[in-house]
Amino acid sequence: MNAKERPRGLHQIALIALFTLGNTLLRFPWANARAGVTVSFVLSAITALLFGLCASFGAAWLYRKRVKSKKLRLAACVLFSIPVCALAFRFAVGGSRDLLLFLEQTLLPERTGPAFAALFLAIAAGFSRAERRGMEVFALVSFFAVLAAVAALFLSGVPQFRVEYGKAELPSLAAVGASLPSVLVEFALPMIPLGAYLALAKPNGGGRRPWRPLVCGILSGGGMMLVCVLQTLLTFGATYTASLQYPYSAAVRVVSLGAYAFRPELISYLPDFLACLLRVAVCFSCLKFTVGRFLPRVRNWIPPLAALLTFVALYLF
Amino acid sequence: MKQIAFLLSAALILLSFSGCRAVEPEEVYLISALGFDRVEDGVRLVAEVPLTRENEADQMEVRLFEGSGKSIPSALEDMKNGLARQLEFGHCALAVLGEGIEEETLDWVLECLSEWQVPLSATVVFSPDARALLGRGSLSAPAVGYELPDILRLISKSRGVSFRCRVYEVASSGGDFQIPRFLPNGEEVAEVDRLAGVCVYRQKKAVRIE
Repeated sequence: MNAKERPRGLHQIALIALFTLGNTLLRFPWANARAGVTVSFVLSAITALLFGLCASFGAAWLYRKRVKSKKLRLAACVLFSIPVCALAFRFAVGGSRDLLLFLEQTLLPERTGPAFAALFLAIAAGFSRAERRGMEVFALVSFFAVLAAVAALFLSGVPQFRVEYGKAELPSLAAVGASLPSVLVEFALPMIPLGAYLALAKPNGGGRRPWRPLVCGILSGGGMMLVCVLQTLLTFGATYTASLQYPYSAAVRVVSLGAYAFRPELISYLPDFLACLLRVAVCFSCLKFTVGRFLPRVRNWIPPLAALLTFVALYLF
Repeated sequence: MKQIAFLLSAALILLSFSGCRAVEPEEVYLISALGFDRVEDGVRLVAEVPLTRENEADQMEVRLFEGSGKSIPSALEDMKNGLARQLEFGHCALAVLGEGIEEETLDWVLECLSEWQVPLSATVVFSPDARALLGRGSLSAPAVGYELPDILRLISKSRGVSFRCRVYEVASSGGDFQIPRFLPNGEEVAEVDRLAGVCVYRQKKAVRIE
């Protein structure tokens, strides 16, 4: 087995975890979730896991020639590829838009222009165009940085927590039902392009348990997300949180590290930026591998083209 | 090589985040405190702005800008008229609620604080006359906006009293909260004695002083 094709479980777990976090961290639908937020979150995490596994195994099964009839196989691949590509593009645009809007509204109102967007998309396209190893090594380093940031901010935020916000009553079925669709869209649906990417990129190089990194990654990302949700919930309470545009970002801004280090903002931007960057890069990679199955000659040009289309979508639509 | 280039680019973007809303200090007025007073025909908004004199970095001049209007945004517009620089609220550390800032007006204040991106950790206090309190000047810190939160921190530490008076604590309270009360008079008293009780709000209405 080639060294480049050896299973790299930890790298993939890191990549999947950061993808799971993605722009969901920025736009977690608190306004719809309200009282049913925790229950909806747990249900969404389970659904995300199912979506990811189905997409991963579905793609692997379709593309590994197990359907005997050529026409049937081609039809199945096309029918599978179109929705996957549409979702990948939707989440690439969504991830970029959310990050740029967030930066424009909170931190860099005059700098977050087209040049910044172009640089961001170029980096994402670069990661997806280069060898998988480059993106995975970056993901692993980023994962530990994000994990440390989330943990440090959570621990620093403990003095601000109010116990009464944690004593929420179990929400009614109607409340969970009302909140579930929006949480599912933000949290579970992105798992479809991720699953397809993992299957098509042959991430395990023929490993025995291809589901293991996916399950561990989604659980790690979901765990980090849960920590962020809990921090927000315990700081502000569900009602006030619903009125905030970027609740987690607001929750970590009231944290002070000791008597002199107030507003550790740079730390809090790290998870937002890295998770969005890797989600967009994985979406571009998903497009590269899915479309590349049918157009192998232009495969390496798909990420730059996707970045260009994303840029156009960001500023024209 | 490609990987290094991407890593460097990503690091460059991250480093560019460590600014202060991408504006130079000379181009803006950095507000340290905001005051809201109810006046006959609407609301009066007062902003405390510490200014450093040119060539005298250690000399701080504090100025008050004010504007009135039927609503808080119109009061802000009134205040902005004639100002040469933009207003920057990201360094505001204190919001003073004057007498009569209750119910609907209190909601307006909280909405505006959120819209202007005043830090959610800024302190909220009560004073019968917000303009007078901010205009009185500070004894130890460069501005009242930085002095009163320091006083509250000092009192919390020495007396073990915990004040839940930050913007998000007031906004998430549902209208029932208590905030420290400061009086504008008493220039001779010691710093910690400037705290004159606590103003209790019930259903967004100031009901008593304790």
